[in-house]
Amino acid sequence: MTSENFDVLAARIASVPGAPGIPTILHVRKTGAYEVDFEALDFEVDEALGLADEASLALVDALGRASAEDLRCYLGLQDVAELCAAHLIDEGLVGELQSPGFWGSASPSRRPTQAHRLANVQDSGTPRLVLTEVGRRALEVGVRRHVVTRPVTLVLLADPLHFVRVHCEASTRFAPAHRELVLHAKAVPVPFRNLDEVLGDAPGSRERSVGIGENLGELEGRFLGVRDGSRWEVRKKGGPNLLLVIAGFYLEGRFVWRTYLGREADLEECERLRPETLVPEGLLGSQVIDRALQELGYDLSLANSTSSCAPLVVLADEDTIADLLGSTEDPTDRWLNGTMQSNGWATGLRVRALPQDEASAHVAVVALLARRERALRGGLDTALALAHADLEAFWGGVPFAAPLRERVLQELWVRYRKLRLLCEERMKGDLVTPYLAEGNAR
Amino acid sequence: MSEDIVEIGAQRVPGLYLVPGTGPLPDWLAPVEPASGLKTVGDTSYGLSAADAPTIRPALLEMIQSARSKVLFASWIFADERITSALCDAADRLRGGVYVLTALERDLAPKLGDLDEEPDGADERAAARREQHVEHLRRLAAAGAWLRSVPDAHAKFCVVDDASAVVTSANATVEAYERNPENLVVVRAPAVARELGRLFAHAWLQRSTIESAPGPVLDQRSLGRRRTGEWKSFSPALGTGLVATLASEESSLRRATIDLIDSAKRELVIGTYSVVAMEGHPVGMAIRSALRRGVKLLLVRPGHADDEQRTTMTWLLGDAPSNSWCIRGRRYMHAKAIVADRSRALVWTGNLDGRHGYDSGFEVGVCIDNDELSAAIRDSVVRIAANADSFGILEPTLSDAARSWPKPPLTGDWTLKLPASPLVALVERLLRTELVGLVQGRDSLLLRVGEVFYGADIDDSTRTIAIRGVESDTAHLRRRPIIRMLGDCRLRIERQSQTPPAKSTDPSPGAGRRGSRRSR
Repeated sequence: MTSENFDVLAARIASVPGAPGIPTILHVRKTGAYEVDFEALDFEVDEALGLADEASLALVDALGRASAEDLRCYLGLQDVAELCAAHLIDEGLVGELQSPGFWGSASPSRRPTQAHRLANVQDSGTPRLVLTEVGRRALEVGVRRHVVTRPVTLVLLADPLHFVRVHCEASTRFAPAHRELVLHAKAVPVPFRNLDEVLGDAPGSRERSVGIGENLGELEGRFLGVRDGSRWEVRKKGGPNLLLVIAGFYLEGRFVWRTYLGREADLEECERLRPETLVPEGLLGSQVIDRALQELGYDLSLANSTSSCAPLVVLADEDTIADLLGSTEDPTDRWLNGTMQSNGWATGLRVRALPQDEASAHVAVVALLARRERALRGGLDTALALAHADLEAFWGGVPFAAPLRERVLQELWVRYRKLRLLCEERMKGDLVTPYLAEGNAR
Repeated sequence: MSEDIVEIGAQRVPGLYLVPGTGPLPDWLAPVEPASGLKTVGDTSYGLSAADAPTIRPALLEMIQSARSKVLFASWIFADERITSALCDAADRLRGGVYVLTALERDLAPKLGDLDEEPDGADERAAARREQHVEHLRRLAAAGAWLRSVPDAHAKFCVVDDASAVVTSANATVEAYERNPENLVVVRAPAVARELGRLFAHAWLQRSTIESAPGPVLDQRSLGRRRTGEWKSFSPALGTGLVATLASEESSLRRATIDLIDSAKRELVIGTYSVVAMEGHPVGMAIRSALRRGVKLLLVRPGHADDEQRTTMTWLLGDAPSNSWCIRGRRYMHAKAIVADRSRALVWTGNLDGRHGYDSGFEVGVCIDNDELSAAIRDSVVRIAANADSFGILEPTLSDAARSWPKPPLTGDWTLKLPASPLVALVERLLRTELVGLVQGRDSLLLRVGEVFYGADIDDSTRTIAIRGVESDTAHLRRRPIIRMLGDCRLRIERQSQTPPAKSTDPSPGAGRRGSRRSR
C-alpha cells in the first residue's frame, strides 16, 4: 500500500453511507474468499395454516380434546379426517392422548361452543387429540412453522472466518464449468473444517463470530444450521483481492473504529466484524499514533488535533516537510504508511505537516512550486506569491516570509531539475523583450 | 599483336590545378610580421588560430565563463569537449539562458568539412563525428541549454550578455580549435553584440524548425509552421560593421562583399574554405572585374580542389596575366576573410560559394574599416599562404596536375592492353592536353582520358592496365571524382589481334600531340 492507495481508500470510506468523514488511521489487509457448497442447510419457515388445519386446531381447542372421528363429524372432513389428524400430529401441532386417565385433571377442558356434529359418532375409541403449545401459537397467528432444507453456496472469508454473501450461480449453462475445483481436504482452510459447529451456534453468538445472525442473506426463513450428516465442499474464489479495512475516525477527542470489507471501489461497512477481534489491541488506542510514527520511521513531533475527523498534525523539518505535503499542486494531508504487523496489516496515518521553522516553510514553498508547472510557465514571481499564500492558508493563516527568488530559482534548478520550465519562463526576457525596441517581432 | 611506347606526363592539361610544393610569394605580397595572438584595435580584436597558436577556444571560453545573463551560441556541429563543458557550466550557473543554434536533424549527415582532406575513411569519420555531436547535444540539453535548428545555418558566432561577441570561421570541434587555420573577430562593443543578439533571436524565434528543450534527454521536436515575424535589417547608420545572410530576409553580407571587392585598387587577399559556383554570381563577377582592372589577387584555400572548384577558380582568373594572381593551398585551411588594399576587410563565416551563404542560408560577418586591423587580417592570410603546401598553376603538365591529387599518381612503366585497333584514338587522346586518371565505376575501375571513359582492369603486380572497351553512358561518370591520376608514365601499348568488338566506337578522332610516340 502506498500513500496514494491510502488516500484513495480513505476517500472511498468517507463516501460509504454512514461514515463519519475521512478516517485518520487505517489498518488494511488483503484477504481471500472461498465458496462453500453446502449439501443441506436447515431453515425454519412460516407458512399460513390451511383451512382444514386451522378448523381442526380450533375444534381441538374448543373441545379440549378431540379425535379424528370428531374432525369427521364436526367438520365434515369425511375420509380425510384421519389423514388430517396424522398430519397435525406429525408437525407437533396436536398431541395424542393414549388413555382417558392419562391427562387426568390436567387435560384441557371443553369450552362453550356452538359447534355441533354434522354426522353421528361411529367410533369413540379413537385416540384423543390435544392442542400443543406449538399448535396453540399457530392457531393464534394463523401460521405454522416448519423446517425446510436447501443446498446453498456461501461466500466466506477464511481468515478471519466470516460470511460475505450467498453465492448466486450465474444462470448461463456454462457457469458451473468455470468454477474452481473443489479443494482437497488437506487444502481446506482450518476454519472451514468445523463449519457445522460454528453455524449451529445460537444466532447471537454466530452473528458475533461469523457475521450470520438469524437469517442467511436474503434466503427465506430463520437459519438453523447445517443439517446433521450433510456434507460441504470448499472452493477458492479468485485471488486474495478483498480488502479488510479497520478505519479509525477521530471524533470528540477519541478514536472510533469501524470495519469495512470489499473491493477497493466497493467497500461496505461490516459491523459484524469487530475491530478488536481482528487486530492487536495496541493498534486501536491512542497509543497507536506514537507507535506508528516510531515504527514507520518518522521522527516527527506530534501536535494536538481538536477538530473531528482531523488529521494528525505534525511539525516537520526541512528534510521531511516536502514529502509530507501530499503530491498534488495544492498542499494536502499525507498518508504515512508502513507495515506494522507481521500478519499483513498495513497501517496508514493521515498527517498534516506544519513547518518546524521558517527554513522548513521555505522548503515547502519550493516543493509546492515545483508541482505547479503551468503557474511556473506564467512567471516565477507570480507563482511564488501564490504558493506562499496557499501554504499560509493551509497552515491556518500563520504568516511567514516568502523565500528569496534566487533561492527558489536555485532549488527548482538544482533539486527539482525544472530546466525546461525555468528556461521557458526566462526566454522571453532573454530573446524577445530586449529587441522589441529594434523592431524584432514577439 | 603490335606494340607502341607512349610517354605521358609532359603534356599540359587545361584549367587550374593546385600542385604540391612551396615557393616564394610574389613580391607584391610583402613579408609579414610573425603572428602574435589577438590584434586589438579599440573594442575589436582579430586573431588567426592555427596548430601552433590556438586563439579561438580561449577567447570563446573566456567569454562564456564571463557571462552574467545569457549566452547565444551558433555552431552547426558540436565536438569540442571544453566548449560544450563551458556551455553546460554556464547553463547551470545562470539557471538557463544558454541558447544554441545547431544541427538537430535526426538524419543529420554531417559534412566532414575540415576533415575531408583525408583520402580514406570518410564514412567512418562522419559516423563518429555524428555520434560525438549527438552526445554533446545530449549533454547540453541535460545541463539546461536550449537547442534549436535553423535550416541551412552555417554561421558560427557567440554573443554574451548583449555586451560582447565572437564571429569565427571555426565550428565547435577540436580540429577547428587546435589544428585548422581558422580566424575570429572579437567585438566588445554592446552596439555590435546587441545587433548580433537580435539577429540570433530572430533566427531562433522566427526561422527555427526543430528544437530540443532543456531536459534529461535529447528530444528533437518539430516546431511546426514557419512564424511570420518580420526582420528589420541591420542599420548601416549604427556603424556596427555587422553583415549577414539570413535566407531572403537579410543580404547585407553579399552587398558588403561586393562593395569591398569593388573598392580594391591594388590587391585583394582572400582566405576561404571553398570556391565554388561563382560563375556568373555577383561576387564572382566582382572578383573577375577586379582582376581585369589590374587588382592583384591572393586566394588561399585548402590543398585539394575537385573538378567543380577548379572550374570555378579557372573562370575567376579568366585571362588575367599570371603575375596578377597567386593561389595557394594550405591543408585544413578554414579561415575566411577578404581584405582590400590592407585598409578594409571582411571576416565572415561563409565561403566563396554561389549556392549558399550569399542568397540563402544563415551566415554572419564583420566588416573592418580600420587600416591597422585590416592589415593584421591581410597579413594573417598572407602568413598562411607563406606556409602553403600547394600552389595554383594554370595549364600545368599532366605530371604536375597528377601530383595535386590526394593520392600519389601512377608513374613509371605500365602496360596498356587495348582490345581492338579502332581504339587507336585512345592513344591519340593520351598525348593530348587531357587528364588521365582512374575513376570508380559502378562495378569496376574506369580509365578516364579527358572526357572519355574506358572500362579497365588494373593489375598493380604486373603493372598492367587492360582496356575492355569504351563506356557509352558517361553522363553519370563525369560527376565522379578521379581517385588516382596517371603522372609521368611510359605506357607500352599492346593491341590484341582477336578481340570482341567494343561497346561503341571511339567517339572522337585524335588531335594535336604534345607527348611523344614511337613505334617499336
